[in-house]
Amino acid sequence: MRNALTALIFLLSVTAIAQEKELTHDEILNFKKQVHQSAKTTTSLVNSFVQSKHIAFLSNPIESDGTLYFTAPDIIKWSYDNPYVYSVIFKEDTLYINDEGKKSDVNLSSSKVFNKLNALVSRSVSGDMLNKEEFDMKFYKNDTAYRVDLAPLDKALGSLFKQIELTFDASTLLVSAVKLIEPSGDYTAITFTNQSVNTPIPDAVFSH
Amino acid sequence: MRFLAISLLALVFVQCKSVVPKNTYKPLAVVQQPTVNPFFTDFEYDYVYKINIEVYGNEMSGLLIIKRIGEDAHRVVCTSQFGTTFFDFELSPKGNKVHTVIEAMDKKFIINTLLRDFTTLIQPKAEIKKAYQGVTYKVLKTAGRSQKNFYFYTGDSEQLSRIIRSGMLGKQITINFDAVDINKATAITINHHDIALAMALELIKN
Repeated sequence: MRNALTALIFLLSVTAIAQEKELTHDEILNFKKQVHQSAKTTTSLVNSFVQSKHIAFLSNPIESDGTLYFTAPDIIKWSYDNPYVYSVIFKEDTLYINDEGKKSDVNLSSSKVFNKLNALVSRSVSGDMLNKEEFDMKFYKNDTAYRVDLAPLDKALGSLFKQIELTFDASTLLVSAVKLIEPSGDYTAITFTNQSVNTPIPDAVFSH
Repeated sequence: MRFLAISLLALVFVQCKSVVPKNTYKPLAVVQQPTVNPFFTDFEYDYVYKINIEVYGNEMSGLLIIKRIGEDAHRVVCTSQFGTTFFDFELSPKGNKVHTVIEAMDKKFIINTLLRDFTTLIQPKAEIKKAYQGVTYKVLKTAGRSQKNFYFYTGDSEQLSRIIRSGMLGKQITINFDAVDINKATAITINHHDIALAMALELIKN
C-alpha cells in the first residue's frame, strides 16, 4: 500500500513537471521576438523527418520518412525515402513532383489553398509565422519545448486543417515537430531530427 | 437518330457478348459463395496502397487506405503523400456515406464514379446468378438488372484475378489483380471503358 502511494506521488509529480503552462502576454512577446530573430538568420535548413498519419479507424498509423530541405525565403523540398520514393519542391508558384522518377509540375498561382499551404509550410519550418494575423494562436511551454497552437481564420485553409501545432525546441528555437489536425480529428504528425542550420544546400537538390 | 440507335444496339450486343463468349465459356451449376472477393476481408489489417490516378490526361498520386469496419462495411480514404485527405468514404450495401471530400472533387459525377468503382473493388459478398468455365478462368456472374459483375478465378486454388463490371451499354470497368500475396492483392489496376479514367494501386507494407 505504501509502495503504491509512493508510486502515485511520483507519477503525479512527473505529470506536474511535464505539464505545459500557457505563456503570459510578456512571455509571448519575448518568444515571438526570439523566434523572429532566429528565423531571420536562418538561410537554410536540412532536417530528417518522420511523418505519421493517424486515422481514427486504422489499427496503426501510416509512417513515412525522408529529408526536408529549406532555403529562405520560401523554397522547400520534401523528399520521401520510405516506404516510397517521392519528392515535391515548392518553388516560385510551382509545385515540382518527382514520383519514382516520373516528373510533373503543377502551377499553383491560381490555387489559393495551395499557395497558403506553401506559405504555411515554409513559415512553419522557419518558425516565421507567429506574426501573421491569419491564425488564432495559443502559446504553451514546458521544460524542454514551446508549443504554439494555430487555428486558421482563413476559410479555405480551415477546411483542410482545424489546428496546426508547432513545437519549438526551447534551446535552439527551431521547429522540432509539426502536427496538422484535420476537421475530422485525424492528424499528421511530423517530427524533425538531425537538424542542420545554414549549411549550404547544393543547387542540384532543388533542380527538377 | 436511327443510326445512333442502331450503333448503340450494336455496341451493347458486341460488348455484352465479349465478357463471356459462348464458344469459349460453358455454363456451370450455380453455387452461392460465402465470399466472392477475399482481398479486403481482414478486419485487423490496414490496406494501404500507393495510388496513381490518370483522368482525362491529368495525373495525380497519393495513398489509398482501405479498412473493413463491419461485416459488409469498408472505409476508403485517399490522402496526399503529405497526409491531407482528398476523400473519405464509407461503403456499405445499406448505404454509402461521404465523410470528407475536398472542394475540387466535390462533384456528384466524380463522387458517384468513385463510390461505384471502390464498391466493385472491395465488396466481399454478392448473389451469383450464373457460372461459367472457360479454358483459363472460372467466371461467376452476379445478379442485377442494370449492373452485373463478372468475377474471374484462375488456377487450382481459384484465385480471383479479374472483375469486370458491365452496365446497360456494355463493359464499364475492368479490375485486374496483377499480383497477389496470400490473400492480399499487392498490385491492382482499374480501367474504365466508358470514360478516360485509370487507377493503379500498389500495396505498401505498413
